[in-house]
Amino acid sequence: MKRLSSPSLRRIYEQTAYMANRRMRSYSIAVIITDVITALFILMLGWQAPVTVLALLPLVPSISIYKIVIAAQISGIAREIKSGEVQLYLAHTLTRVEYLLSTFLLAGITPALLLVSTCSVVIAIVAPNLLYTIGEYILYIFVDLLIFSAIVVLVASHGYEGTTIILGVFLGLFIWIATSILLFFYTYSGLSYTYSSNVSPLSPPLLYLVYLSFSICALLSPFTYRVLYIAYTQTYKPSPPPIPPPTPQTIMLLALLLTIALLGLALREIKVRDI
Amino acid sequence: MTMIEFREVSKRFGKVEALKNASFEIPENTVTAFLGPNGAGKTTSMKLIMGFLKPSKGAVLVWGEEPWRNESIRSRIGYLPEKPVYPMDLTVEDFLSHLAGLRRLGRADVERVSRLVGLEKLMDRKIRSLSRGYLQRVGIAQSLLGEPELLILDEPTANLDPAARREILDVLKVLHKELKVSMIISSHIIPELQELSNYAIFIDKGTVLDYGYLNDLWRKYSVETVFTIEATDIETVAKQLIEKPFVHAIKRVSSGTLEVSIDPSHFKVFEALLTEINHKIRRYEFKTANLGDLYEKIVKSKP
Ligand SMILES: Nc1ncnc2c1ncn2[C@@H]1O[C@H](COP(=O)(O)OP(=O)(O)OP(=O)(O)O)[C@@H](O)[C@H]1O
Ligand SMILES: [Mg+2]
Repeated sequence: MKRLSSPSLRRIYEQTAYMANRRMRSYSIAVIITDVITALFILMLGWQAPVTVLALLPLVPSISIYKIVIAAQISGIAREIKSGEVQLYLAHTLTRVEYLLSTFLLAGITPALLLVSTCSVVIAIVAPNLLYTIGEYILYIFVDLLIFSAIVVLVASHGYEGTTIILGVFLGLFIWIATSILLFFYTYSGLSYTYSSNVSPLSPPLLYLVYLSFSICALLSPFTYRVLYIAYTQTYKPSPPPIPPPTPQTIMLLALLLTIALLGLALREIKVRDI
Repeated sequence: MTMIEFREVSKRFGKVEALKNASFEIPENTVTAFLGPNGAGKTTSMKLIMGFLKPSKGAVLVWGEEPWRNESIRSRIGYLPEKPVYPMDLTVEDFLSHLAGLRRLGRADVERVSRLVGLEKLMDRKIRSLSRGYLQRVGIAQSLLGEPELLILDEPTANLDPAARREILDVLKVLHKELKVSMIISSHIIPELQELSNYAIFIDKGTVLDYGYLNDLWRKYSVETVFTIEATDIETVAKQLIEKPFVHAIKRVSSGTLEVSIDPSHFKVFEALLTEINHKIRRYEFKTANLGDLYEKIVKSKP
């Protein structure tokens, strides 16, 4: 007799609430720190920002902090598998899939919602004039955190605790820098560096490589890309690159699809691995 | 009815082969002693039954289904891991309540199991602050949640003092007698296993040496069954008993006490005989068919 056991929402809720109770402290700290940072940055830079890019900049460090918190929380999956703690939950009817989904819900989706809501509130208080401008970008922040969580969940489901944290910190801190540099290169790839020399502009194979690299970085950080894309469209380009960069909308959709795929892989791994 | 079946199960961990072609069956309504030296593969077998591990080869069947595929089987099992890792930051109550919640149970069930194992006064304590013996009781308490049909206990009395050990053994006895709970218990303390079990599996270095009902195994390996008998006139009693073909030896332990070894298959007949001559006997006691002896014989017979 084979049954397709669909995950029980009730158990997922029970487990999520249980973990939330235990981890409340680290979330509270992350929320307070990011709110303070956001408020300070907005007061310093963004408040009367003439360009949207400047208004959005304050959100970048907040997102980095959240990503580090998310990675640390999700690495708990690897830790609980290694220590055997997860056996106690699984012994009481929680399924492997429900366990992974609970952690993803708590450590991935909840912080995303928290960041989006607290930032909105802070902005509404400190610089209400920006709320309207920023509205659209909030969706991008959400997807940005979502795909990040899916990546670290996949690594954690393989039982690598340290790697999860290191990868999380690395992606959290550096992905937006990498995306910026690569997109900058691409934007000016049509120019030769010096007028006098005969250095040619980026030629096709290398050009594609840069295109591919920043697209991948963009996928991993849709919010960064959304902000950079404004810069791209608003700057003067004497000789624009032959292929226009993908629109942020395309990137966001692809990122959502990738999130689902990564989550699927993580679920498949947790279903068959030794626990 | 077969409750558990291992069909030529092998389990590898990298280079280590923890189980090698292990095959055995456990019927319903048994208390199984899972015996073997350190590293024999007992814990591995138990995790396979729980579906936490996937066999490298062969099939593990629990009530006819593969536990690592069909996770709902676990709802009928209570499990005490060998080295349980608890959330140290929680109170006993919060922890047990959560596990009960997963099973759709309430406060009353948490109270019931904590009373059974003697934890009721420590419910507000942080798990971190418990001594090892009380930690072990938390483990046993959680395994009893939800009135499981099968209990899998990996060294349940480790870390317990003699009194606590006694209490837990008595709880387990009652569970089997009154609620017909089946159990699979691994332990290195053979006498206490003997007290509880009616079935046994012997395993060494990943290989199953033998398994079956203890009553059959005593006979198969001709392990002696020993009774202690107290009588006023031990000479007459001894004479009467030695005539019976199933009595192998009689030893005088003290002036009023005899030790009688019999063929284990005549256990019932011998008891009937003792009741028959009970006017000559002050007291008798079934001493042992020694599980330790059986263990040694089985291990020796399979080099
Ligand atoms: N996760 C694992 N990774 C590598 N080796 C393992 C793992 N689990 C068990 N083993 C090995 O498998 C063998 C069987 O171990 P197991 O824990 O099943 O023995 P056991 O019979 O429970 O022993 P003990 O009486 O000491 O508890 C041992 O050699 C052990 O080192
Ligand atoms: Mg063991």
